Order: sequence, then structure tokens, then C-alpha cells
Amino acid sequence: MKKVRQQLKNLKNEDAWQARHSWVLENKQLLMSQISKTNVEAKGERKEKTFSENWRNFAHIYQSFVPHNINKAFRPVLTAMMALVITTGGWVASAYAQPGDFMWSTKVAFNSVVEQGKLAFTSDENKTSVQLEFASKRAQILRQVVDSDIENKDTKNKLIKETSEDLKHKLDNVSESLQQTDATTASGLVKELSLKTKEISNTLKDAAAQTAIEDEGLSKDLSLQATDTAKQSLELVEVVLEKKIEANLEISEDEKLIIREHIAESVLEIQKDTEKVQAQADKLTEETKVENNDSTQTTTSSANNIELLTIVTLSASTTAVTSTAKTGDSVTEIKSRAAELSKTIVTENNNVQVLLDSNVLEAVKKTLELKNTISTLSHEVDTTLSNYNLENKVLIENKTTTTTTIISTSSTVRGVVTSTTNIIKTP
Amino acid sequence: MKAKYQEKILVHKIQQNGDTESFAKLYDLYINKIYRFTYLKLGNREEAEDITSEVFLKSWNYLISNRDQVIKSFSGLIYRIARNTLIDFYRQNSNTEVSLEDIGDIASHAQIAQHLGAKMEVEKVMKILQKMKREYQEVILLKYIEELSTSEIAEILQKNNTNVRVVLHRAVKVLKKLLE
Repeated sequence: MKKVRQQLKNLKNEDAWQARHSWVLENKQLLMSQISKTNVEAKGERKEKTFSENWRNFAHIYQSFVPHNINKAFRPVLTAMMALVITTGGWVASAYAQPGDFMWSTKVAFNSVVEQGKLAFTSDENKTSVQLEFASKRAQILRQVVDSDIENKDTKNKLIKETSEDLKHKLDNVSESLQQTDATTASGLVKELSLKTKEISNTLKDAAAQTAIEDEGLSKDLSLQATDTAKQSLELVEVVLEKKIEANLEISEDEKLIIREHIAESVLEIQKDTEKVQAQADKLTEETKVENNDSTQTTTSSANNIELLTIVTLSASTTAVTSTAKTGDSVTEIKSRAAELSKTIVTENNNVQVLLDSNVLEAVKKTLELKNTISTLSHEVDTTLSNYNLENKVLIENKTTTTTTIISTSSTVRGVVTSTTNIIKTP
Repeated sequence: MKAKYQEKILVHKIQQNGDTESFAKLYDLYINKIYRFTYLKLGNREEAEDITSEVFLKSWNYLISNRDQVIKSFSGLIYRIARNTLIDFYRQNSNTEVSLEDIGDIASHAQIAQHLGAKMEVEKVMKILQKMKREYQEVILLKYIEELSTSEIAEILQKNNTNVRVVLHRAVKVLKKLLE
């Protein structure tokens, strides 16, 4: 029977019976966004905590944690003790604090102190893992803050900003700690690093999407941070692989599988980013074309109207046309680069797939290189787009001023002409 | 024991504050277990994934809509939900004419062989396990694969401890006989 039991236990470790890592992660993201919605609805229903609700909360703790078979004589004593702890312990209140609550900042500060304490008692080889755990916790807090129903938008955005900065800091700590870890310890971290950092990047993406309506700037920052985290995630895997290769340690099949999934997801993201950049460049090209035509028309109509104002109008319009043309040039360049990159990605993707079987480290490096190229291009498009919007704003302002001047000057000239005609007509 | 209390704290936080962070922790703890439980019964990866997702969503909804109920053990709750979801799944797909008693027979031999590959002994145990009565299959799965306690199994199967022990004894006897 012992043998059968062992065989049954072995079933648990069979690869076929394990859930796919990527599915586990995707499903978690989906589930979290689904339950966050129901949670917000439920919270709306019970906004104000009454005394009876607090009492019910206490009763629930009591029933959940005090064993049922405990001697009845001890129950009043235990009740009194628990009541004392709950009413006097500030930390209990802060432990249950939600974002926006009075005790929230205390909870965050308390957690930081606890983390520092934990870190002080952690051995060097476990430090990366612990730091990663802290970073994951920050990502969960960020999700909590984003999902929270804080009414004051400024307070909420400030909290989101603080938490995301804290998260960035924690991730930097992970990188630093990993650099100092020896190869043997680092080799066991591939799975943990890959999965957790991917999860953090996804949380940041979700946060960026959720904040897009309320604060575009914040959303952009979070989106940028998500991209950086995705890059950092690959970099961490790269560091581990380098350490393993240096120490002549073999990369296991399980690790290869995780890295393969990681790279596949990264390549997919790169493709999506390239498409986005191309779409943005297309949109910009269209807009700059329309703007060029508009500027020329303004110049012509101004010239037809009043000769006196032609010089002023012409100079303003020429400046606008020149700057729009400049934007147009850079847009055309970006567009062609994006198209070129799109082609390169198809080829490089195939190269990466081949490399995955022969040289995992090279495959990671190649993906990282592609990721860097696309993020530089994406940044350039963003800059061009904001420059273009700025120029457009100036152009509109110039147009308005010129039109107003034309209208007022034409009526003055018309008045002068009428009076002169009247004078001539008068005998 | 420490883990059990930690789970209770997480469940309490979910019930009282709708804490999603605590649910994420429970998800990490149970995702593989529940997936394994459903996969062993269905033998199909996609279906097992769908059912597992549904089980977690149902667990969350149950916890936040039954705030006053004291949950003795989360494992008991989630496995019970998984079991009921599987039964519902088979009821909805009843046109395949599979009786509830034969849930375990769904996975084809080809699928089993494909999944277990060269590990013949494991394959043999699995085949036999899947041919057993649903009740026996469940107790063996929960006791020896998931390593749950008798009282937890009793809660999941909604039986008393003695009944579970009896069923387990019979199941092991049948399994032993089939293996011989």
C-alpha cells in the first residue's frame, strides 16, 4: 500500500497535472479585475460603519478564532481580553485600514518598519526573494489604491503616485540585491523573478488604463513604468542566466519553459507596441497634411483681403507652415522606421525562437534589444506628438489673432473709404 | 497550524473588508490544487482551466455575500464549490450521456497516456483511479494526493468523519485489488 500511496503522491508533481504558469498569471489578473468591480459595488452599499457593524466584526473574529470546544468558563475571560486588545491596539485598526482611511498612512509606515526589520534578519542569499516579495506587496497596494473609492481625486492620484514610486524603488532594490547574490542562489530565482515581475508590470498597465480618464499625465507615467518594469523583468532573468552560465550551472527544462513563455509574451508586446507606433505615425502624417493645406489657405485669403496686412499674415503663416513641415519630416522618418522595425521584428522573432533552443541567454538579450529599440521609438513618437500638439495650439492662437486684426482693420478701411467717397461726392 | 490561522485571517479580511489582496494570496495557495482536482476529473486542459476560474469567482462571491458566516476552513469551502461546479458542468453537458457516477471515466486512455508519457506506473494508477466510483475517487484524491485531513474531507463531501473513514477504507481496498 505504501507504494500505491507514493505513486498517488507522485501524481501531484506530474508536469501534465500542473496548471500553465502563463494561464495562472493571466487568470489572476482577470479575476482580480472582476472581483475589484464587485468589491467597489459592495463597498458603496456599506459605506458607513455603525457601532453594530463593529460589534458584528468583533463577533466574527471571536467565532472564527476561538476554538469551539474551549471550556465555557474561559469564554468571558477571553472575550474581555480580545475586547481589550481590539479597543486599545492602534495597530489592529491600522491593519484593517483601507486607502483613504485615517489610519492608512500609519499602516503603510508600520509595514515599512516591519519590512526593514524582516530584512535585517534575512540572510544574504534570501534577500532577493524577500525584496521581490516586498515589491509584489507594493503592486497589490497600488491595485488597492487604484480600486479604492476615495472621493477626492487629488488625494487618490497623490496616493497612486507615491505607491508607484515606492514600487519602483522596491524593484530597484531587487535588481541591486540580485547583483550581489551568488550564482547558486540566483539560479533558483528564475521562475519567481519572471512570474512576479510580469505580474507587477501587468498591475501597472491596469492602473494606467484605470487612471486614463481622470488623469492623463499620471496614466502616461504608469504606462511608462509598466514598460520599464517589463524590461527590468527581462534584465533580471538575463542577470540570473549570466550568473548560471558563469558558474557552469545547467538551465533546467522548467526554467527554459518559463523563459520561453516570458520571451513569447515580450515579443507579442513588442509587436503590439510597433503597431501602436505605426498607427500614431499614420495619424500624425494625416494631421500634418491637413494642417499644411490650412496654413496655405490662410495665407492666400489674407492676401486677397487686405494688402496692408499681407506681410504680417504671411510671416505668421510661413512660420506655422515651416514648423508643421518640420514635424511632418520627423513623422515621415518615424513612420518609415516603425515600418522597418515591424519587418525586423518578424525576422528577429524567428531568430529568437531558434536561439531559445540553442542559447537562451542570447535569446533574452535579443528580445531586450528589440524592447529597447521599440521603447526609444515610442518615446520619440510621444515627443513628436506633444511638440505637434504644442505647435498646433500656437498656430490656432496665431490664426485667431490674425483673423481678429483682419476683421477690425477691414471695417476701419471700409469706414475710411466711405467717408472719402462722401467727401468727393460733396460739392 | 500556523498556515490554517493565516488562512482564517485572510478569509476574515475578505468577508469583513472585501480585501482583494487577501483573496490574491488564497488564489496563489489554491490555484494549482483546484486545477489538479478539476483536471483529474475532466482530463481536458481548457475545460479544467475554465472550471477553475469559475470556482475562484464563485468562492469570492460566496465570501463577500455571506459576511456573517463563520468559515471553518477555506479548503473545505473551495473544494465543495469545485465539486458542485463540476456536477453542474456535467448536468449542462448531459447530452454526452455521462452519468454522474462515471465522472472519472471522461478522460480517454489516449489523453491519459499522452499526459503521463513514459511513466507507466503512474499511468496505471491514474487509469484505475479514473475508473473507480466517483465517491472513492474523491476520497483517495483528497486524502493521498491533496493530503487533506479527514475532517476537511468530511466538510467537503458533507459527511461525518466516521463515514469518510469507512469510505476511504473501502476505496483503498478496491484500489489495492484493482492494482493486483
